[in-house]
Amino acid sequence: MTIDVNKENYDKEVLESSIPVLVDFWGPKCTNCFALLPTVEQLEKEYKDKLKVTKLDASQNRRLCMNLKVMKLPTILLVHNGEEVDRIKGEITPEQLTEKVNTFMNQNS
Amino acid sequence: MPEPEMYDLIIIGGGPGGLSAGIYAMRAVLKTVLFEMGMPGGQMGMSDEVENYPGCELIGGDELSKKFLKHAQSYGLEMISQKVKAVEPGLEFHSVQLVTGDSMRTHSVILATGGSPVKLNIPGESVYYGSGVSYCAVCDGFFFKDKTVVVVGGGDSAAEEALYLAKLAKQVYLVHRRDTLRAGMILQQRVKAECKIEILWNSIPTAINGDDGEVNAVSLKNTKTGDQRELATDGVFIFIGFEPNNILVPTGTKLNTDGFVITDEQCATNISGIYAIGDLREKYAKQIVTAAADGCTASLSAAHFVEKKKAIADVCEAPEDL
Repeated sequence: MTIDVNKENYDKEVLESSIPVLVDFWGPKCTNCFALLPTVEQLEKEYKDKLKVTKLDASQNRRLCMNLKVMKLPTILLVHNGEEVDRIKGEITPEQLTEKVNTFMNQNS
Repeated sequence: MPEPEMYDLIIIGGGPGGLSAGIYAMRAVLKTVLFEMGMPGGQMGMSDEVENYPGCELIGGDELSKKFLKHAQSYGLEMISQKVKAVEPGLEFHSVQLVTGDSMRTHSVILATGGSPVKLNIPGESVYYGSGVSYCAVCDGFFFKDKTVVVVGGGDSAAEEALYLAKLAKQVYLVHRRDTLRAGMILQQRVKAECKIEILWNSIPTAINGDDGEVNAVSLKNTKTGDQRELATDGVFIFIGFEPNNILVPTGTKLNTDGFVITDEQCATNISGIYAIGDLREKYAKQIVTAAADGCTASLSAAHFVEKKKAIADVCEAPEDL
């Protein structure tokens, strides 16, 4: 199940996670973010308990975004063992996202 | 292997043009499918507010997109979220190839792939994309709350986005290469009345600079005097026009020198059964209302074209003794 993350639980859910994590930064007016949603959900189903999928509403977590240097929506962070392994930002196609996550999972699971 | 499915019309692109085309195609009882790889609404969905679509005095771009989509879906329009690889024109039918390797056959095609923001192509622009450089104020504006931003451009989009950013940012500099704005008069008046916006006339950005992975300044050159200066900023929003997304336009289609598709008044290209609408085609006004009008025109014309084609095929296939 997708977990909503914010400044309160980011460290626990993302940085301290024992499994690889996908953080999906979205905003209520970001249509490109909504377009990626089915792909993110599909990836979550595919990897089940091997990948933790989290969502972060950037409009409600501006300071956290600044700290993470996220200034573009959509942005997807791929994190493992507390380290950012990959960052995908801007105009991301579903195919590109799937490919990046597959590579990430091959290398980190 | 079974033959690929045959459609009357394939629409590529789900902005206001494509969705309007879908509505008219369904009303004309054409077997139609629409491909949209992103979120239906296209550029319209990225507008904060739309206040020039007749019948809607003030509406959010995302809300208007939803209304277009709902309207099209109310007629049962088939929509597929899949990337199209190529459109191959044929004499009997056209083929639409998908990235999955699948292929679809159709009597007619409406290309509604819109446009993409033109880039400045200056040092730092691609390096800081997503780290202070943006082409969408509605998407990324809130990252710049109480900060200083530079908006580049002088047309309607630049003026609208500068006004949107003025609601969030501490200071907005509107950098324009000429000494007058191209934006409509009502927008010009609003920009000039907004105390948070300062217009830097006769100026072009020559580089976007940063530190620690984030934008911190933009280098500007005065087009009249040649003087150079550095302006501290947290973000740079670029709205200097749109270039057509013409990658799917088949070879042999007439384009103008800027790459926009040349059509007749029915939005028909020089290739029989292939139409281009909205921001993809050469025309004077690129607006939601004109994209929607193009969608209507192209679908009505396609319906006539398909009907005629089928009638001819029926005559040709009729037994001789009839």
